[in-house]
Amino acid sequence: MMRILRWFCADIYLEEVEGDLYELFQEEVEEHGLKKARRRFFFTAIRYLKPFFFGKKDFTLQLEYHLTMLKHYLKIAFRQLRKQQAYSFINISGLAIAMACCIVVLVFVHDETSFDAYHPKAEDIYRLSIRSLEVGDQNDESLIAASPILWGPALKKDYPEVENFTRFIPRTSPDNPWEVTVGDRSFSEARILYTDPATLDMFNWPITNGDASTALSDPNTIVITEAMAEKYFRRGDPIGKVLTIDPKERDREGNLNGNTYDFTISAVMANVPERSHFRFDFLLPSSILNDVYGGDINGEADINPWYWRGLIGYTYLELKPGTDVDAFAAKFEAFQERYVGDATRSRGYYYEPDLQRLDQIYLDGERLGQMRSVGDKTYIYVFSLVALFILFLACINFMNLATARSAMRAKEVGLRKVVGAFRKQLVSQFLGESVVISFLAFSIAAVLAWLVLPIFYEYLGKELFIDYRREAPFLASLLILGVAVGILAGSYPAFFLSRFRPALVLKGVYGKTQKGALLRKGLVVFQFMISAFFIIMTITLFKQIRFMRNYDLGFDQERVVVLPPNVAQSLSSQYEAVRGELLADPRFLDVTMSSEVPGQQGRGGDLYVEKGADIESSFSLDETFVDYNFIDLFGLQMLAGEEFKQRNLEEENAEEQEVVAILNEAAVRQFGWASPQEAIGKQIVRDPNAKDWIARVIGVVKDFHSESLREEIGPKALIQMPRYGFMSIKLKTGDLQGGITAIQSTVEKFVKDVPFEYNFLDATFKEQYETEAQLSRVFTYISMLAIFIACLGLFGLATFTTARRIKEVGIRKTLGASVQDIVILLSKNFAFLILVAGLVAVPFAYLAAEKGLQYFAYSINNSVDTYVLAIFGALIIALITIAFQTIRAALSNPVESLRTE
Amino acid sequence: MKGTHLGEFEELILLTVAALHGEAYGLAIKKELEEQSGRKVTISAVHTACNRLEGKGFLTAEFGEKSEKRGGKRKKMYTVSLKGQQALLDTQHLRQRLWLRIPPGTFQIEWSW
Repeated sequence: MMRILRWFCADIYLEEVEGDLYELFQEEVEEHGLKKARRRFFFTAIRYLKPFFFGKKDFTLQLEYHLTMLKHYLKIAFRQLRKQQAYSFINISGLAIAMACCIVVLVFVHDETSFDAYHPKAEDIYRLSIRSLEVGDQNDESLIAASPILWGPALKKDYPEVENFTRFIPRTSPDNPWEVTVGDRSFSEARILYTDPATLDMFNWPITNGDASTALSDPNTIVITEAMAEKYFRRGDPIGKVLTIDPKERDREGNLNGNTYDFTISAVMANVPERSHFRFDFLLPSSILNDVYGGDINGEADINPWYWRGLIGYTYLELKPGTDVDAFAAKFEAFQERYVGDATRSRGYYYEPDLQRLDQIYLDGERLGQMRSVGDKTYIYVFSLVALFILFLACINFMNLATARSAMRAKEVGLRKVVGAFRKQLVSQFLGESVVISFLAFSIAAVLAWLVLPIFYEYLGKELFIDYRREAPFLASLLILGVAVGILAGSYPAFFLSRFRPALVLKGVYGKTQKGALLRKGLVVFQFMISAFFIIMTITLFKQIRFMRNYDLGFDQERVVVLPPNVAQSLSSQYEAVRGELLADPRFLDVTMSSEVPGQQGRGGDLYVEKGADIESSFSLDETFVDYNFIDLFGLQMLAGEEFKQRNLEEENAEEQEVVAILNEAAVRQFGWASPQEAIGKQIVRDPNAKDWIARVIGVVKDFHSESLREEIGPKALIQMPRYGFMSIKLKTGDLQGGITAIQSTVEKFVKDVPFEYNFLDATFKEQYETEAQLSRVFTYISMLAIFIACLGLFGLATFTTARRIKEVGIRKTLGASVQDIVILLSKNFAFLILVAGLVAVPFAYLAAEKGLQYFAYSINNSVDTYVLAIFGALIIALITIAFQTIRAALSNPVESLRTE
Repeated sequence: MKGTHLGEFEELILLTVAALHGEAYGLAIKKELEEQSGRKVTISAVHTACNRLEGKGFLTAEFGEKSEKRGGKRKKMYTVSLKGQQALLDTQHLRQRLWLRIPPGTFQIEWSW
């Protein structure tokens, strides 16, 4: 205690106080004993923690002093800013832009990572997603968000780890909405889910009106969200009212039968928060499905065994807290043995469980059949890294520029020291200036971020939604971060500036130290290195995209109109007639039907093996069921054998019917045949375990890309069989829009009340590359930003270097140097730095580009010209940046510059 | 006369210093004041007041000799300065004048000095 006292107590009082306290202590030891005396000593000593004893004469005087100094410092800070406007502008704007970037990214990351966190049991609830794997090809797996609906109840029954379960079963979709009517108001609704009553227990969606415990028990009831209550009932009370649903049922012929069903509204629930992966407006009790699916969906009574493997609903399991998820997942094999048996394996695939924790679903990656599009973790990583980089660059700039201008302020520092300022005071003065600058930058950044955020979000295809009240602590921490950055960035210059020795400084001797110059140059090199890196990546990506766009896919995609299944399927019964009608119009060159179309759908396949060969060698072969003219319409190239002939498969005698197939080169290789020729006449068996049909190979077609160039071409079979989904129409060159209208009117002639949809094959195919296109745009912006900031730094540096060398320039000019000579002289240094930066960046960029290009099965070569272009570009940009300064210096009047004393 | 206005505690300190006559230092002042007034006085309050009074010029201080009893620290001895004496006397005179102004019989309690 005494030591503490000595530390803060002023010297003038210390001796007296120490002595008296010591004496007092002795007396108290005698009177009260050591322990008590010690305690009393402690309390007494504490009382000396008064400003009085800190050595200040008078507290009020102290305060006044501080206030005055503060005012002074602020005045100086702002004066500095105004005097060196260019410099200040560069500094502030660079910092502001970098901060704005960081704010945007931080908000984004914070947003994305907080999905689904509002459920209290979020950590114990897992979605049972399925990983579907091909028997025989472990690498061919699909991740699907849905699961068989009978698994949930069975899991709960058999395993104590499962505390509870619930399912969501969708029967509507944006393509297949239902019509909901209340009174005389009808709307088309696509977000209706069937669910178990347990949902209201497991998830945090409070019931705002009605009874939660009975809300989903009665099969004739329905729960709606507040938004829907608003939409259909305005202010009225929806409870007890009746809602009519028309589920657009179709009969065998494909016509609507107009059945409707009534439901009583049993409860209203709060809207599903924006930040969830769930999306629904209506909840129907799952018990209704017992009738729809013809059995007990809780697995107790009879139900079609298909429901043990059909992936039609979402299952969520609530596990006991502390359950080992992996151990639990391992039990699924036994579980499937018991209930699914061989049913999937005999069909060529099998399931593995993929348990996703509720609050991680959103960022866990794409799954087929999600309720809504999810976020991408890579975006988070990439953006965070980039933002950090940019901030780093800006801080380096800041430090660089601050120390560079030390020459200007050296005199001020020297004078202050002479007048009696302590080093501590100087440090805090300059630190304070940095804080002021960073505060200004932050305010600008906040405004910038606020403007940019909506654009950023729209760009990513997401919705921006900031609840300012709830996020207030987050926003406050951003502010603190901003100030902290200012302090950090400003600390180095502050310490550096305050180190000056008055004597040297006032004499004007002080210039840049060797050490300082090297550090500054290194920092600029680093900045340009990063910029060069980004430029290279951008160029590479750009080239890759261009490559993909222009790559010959092996089939003709121009002027092909595709009618998707919702339209084509209803036409399939009258296909011949439709085709005839269309072909009568000279605008249409050909019409065909197929189960899939390059770039759309796909992944229909089964196990195949050559007849007579070992079952072990069977593999998964992609199947496309086509009409005879498929190959012709798409311009596929035959390598061997013959094309399909026109047959009327409906009429042919079923027994004599032979299945014929045309394979692609990859399939030929996979079957182990030496050449396309050898394949002709071979027989292949479909689904060897179940002994499906046997197809005869009548031809081989050249490999074509039915999927994006990210994928390798897999083995494919074209089978002539009427299992169609898509109708494709080839148009002649000319009026495409007119063609569309004609198609539409023809279609409508044959089928009523089907919403007409179509798309152009080449356009849809191009959409595959949307992700890459987006990425390249992002990279472009990042590169521009990085370059901008690097140039800012370079510009500032150039300003001061040339200012310092102005006398040298003057002398050279008098000795006869021309303007060009000077410019070259001054630029030489910088050009060298940039070159070094570029060269250092090359190996890193090369590795990164290699890694990135591996992602594409078909990619460009990592070629030299990209790098040369990048470095050259960086050089040009740099030279332009400093041109202003160098040219001005070169044009300066030597008389003026040499006169400065 | 500004600056000569004494607080109650300050006045007591000055009087005690005078009473202790040459023996007045922190601890002694504290003990004497506690004895005489019957109320607790913390040593820190004494130090604060004494130093402040010294600053105002009412006390003069001198350091005594080192003593082992105080862990080698010297005692700071206070005496009332001329200014301090004047201030004390002024205050006392003011009190007496005011007392004399009270008509006899106003108080229920008898007094006389």
